[in-house]
Parts: sequence; structure tokens; C-alpha cells
Amino acid sequence: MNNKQQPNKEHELDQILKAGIEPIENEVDDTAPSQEWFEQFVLQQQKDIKAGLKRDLVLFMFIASCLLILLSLTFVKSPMLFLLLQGAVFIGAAIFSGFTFFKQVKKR
Amino acid sequence: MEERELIKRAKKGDHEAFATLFKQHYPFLVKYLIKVTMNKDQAEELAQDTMAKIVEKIHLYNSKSKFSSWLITIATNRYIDIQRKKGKEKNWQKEQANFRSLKWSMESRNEEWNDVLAALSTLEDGVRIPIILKHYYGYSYEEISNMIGLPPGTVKSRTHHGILRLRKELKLDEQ
Repeated sequence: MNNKQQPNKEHELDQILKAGIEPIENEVDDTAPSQEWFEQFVLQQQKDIKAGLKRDLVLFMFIASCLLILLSLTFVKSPMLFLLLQGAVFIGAAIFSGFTFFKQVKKR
Repeated sequence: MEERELIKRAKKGDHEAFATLFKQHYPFLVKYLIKVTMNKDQAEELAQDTMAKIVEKIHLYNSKSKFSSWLITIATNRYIDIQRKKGKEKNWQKEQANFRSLKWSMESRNEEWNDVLAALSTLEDGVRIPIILKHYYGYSYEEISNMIGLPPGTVKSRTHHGILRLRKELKLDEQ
């Protein structure tokens, strides 16, 4: 008896829940923003993703360079080489930051 | 154009294909998120957040499930992540404010804020979401388990306990 009643009870609840939740469907009309709006949105996201990847890559290269400097210094024990590598990394980072900054300013 | 073709093009980075896909699924996504968040503004914000995530993760979509199911999987997980980051105390207060806001919005359009919505609003997210996915959208426990990253047994038990609470709240067993 109970087993037979169980699916009925579940079905009854399903119906009640569906009817109860249904008014929320009317909360939003079926029109979405325009195709252009979505295209702009996607383009912006793709740009942000690219910028994020670039940032991560630069960070990775910077950390790798620092490790390389430390390793070289340990092996060669040459302060001159250390300074040269430090300088190269610093100049590289400055050029990249400057280039990115001017590119952004130009776009604005 | 067919959805499969649009997804194929979107995976190659075609922004027009992405836009068409999003435009087709946007109302469905927002409606689902309103049911989950019980707040229209938050649902729209979360829908944009979900679309941003989709642009990033489209290569992970394997076409085994429907695109709309994958969409609500991403949306649900984003919502759970966001809620987890916020404090529990604050969450409860905010949730109550959300329900009031939705109630007001519905009543202002002469829509009824019924007992079911009132009862659902008393449930925690972790219970309400499986109930909506199971009893409104008709997903199986296995599918819900994959969607929200919980074992099927946990999903089943949460749904079961949630249903018992709903039945009690709606006084269904007294009839």
C-alpha cells in the first residue's frame, strides 16, 4: 500500500513544486540583449583572457630569470655576471611594462 | 545554424558563434538563476559571470551532456563558490533580503508569492538547488551529482530531507 502511494506522493509534489515555481518564469521575458551586446561581451572576455595569459607568462619568465640568476651566481660565483643579469632582467621588465602601458594609453 | 556547429566554431574562438549561443540560452540561464538565488539582479550578474567562465572554459565542453545542462552546471558552481566566499551569517541575512526583493518584484506585477516559494526560501542553497534540479528540471541524482560535485548519495539524502521539510512546511501530509 505504502509503496504504491510513494510514486503518487512524489508525482503530487512534483506538480505542486512546478506550479509554485512557475511564476518565477514570468519574472524574465524571453528577450535577451542584442547580438551586438553579446559579441562585445565575448570580445571583451577574450581580450581579458589574453591579457591574463600574457601577465602570467611575464610573471613566469621573471621568476624563471631570477632563479637563473641565483643559479648562475651560485655556479660561477661572479658578482659581475650577477649584476649583468639583474640589469638585463630589470631593463627587459621595464621595456615590457612601458610598452604595455603606452599601448593601453594609446587605445584610450 | 545548429548548436553543435556553433559550439565547434566557439571552440575556435569565433565571437559571433559565442554570441549566438549566449543569446539563445540567456533567458533560460537567468530564469534558472532566479530560482537558485531568488534574486533577479543577482541572477543577471551571475549569468554574465557564467558566460565569462564559458568563454574561458569552452574547450572543456565534451558534448556528452546538453549545452544548457553544462551552462547550469557552471552557473551553479559559480554560485556555490561565491556563497562559500561570503560569511554564513551575512549570507542568511542577504538571502532573506533577496527573497523579500523577489517577493516585492513579483507582487508588484500581480504575480502571487505562493506557499511553495515561501517554503523554498526557507531551505539552504545546498538543499534548494538539488530539489529544483530534480523536481523542476527533472535531472537524475547522478546528473545532479556530476553538476554540483557531490556524491549521488549526498544529493539523494539532501533532496529527501528537503522534500520532507517542504511537505511539512506545505502541510501536505495533513491533507
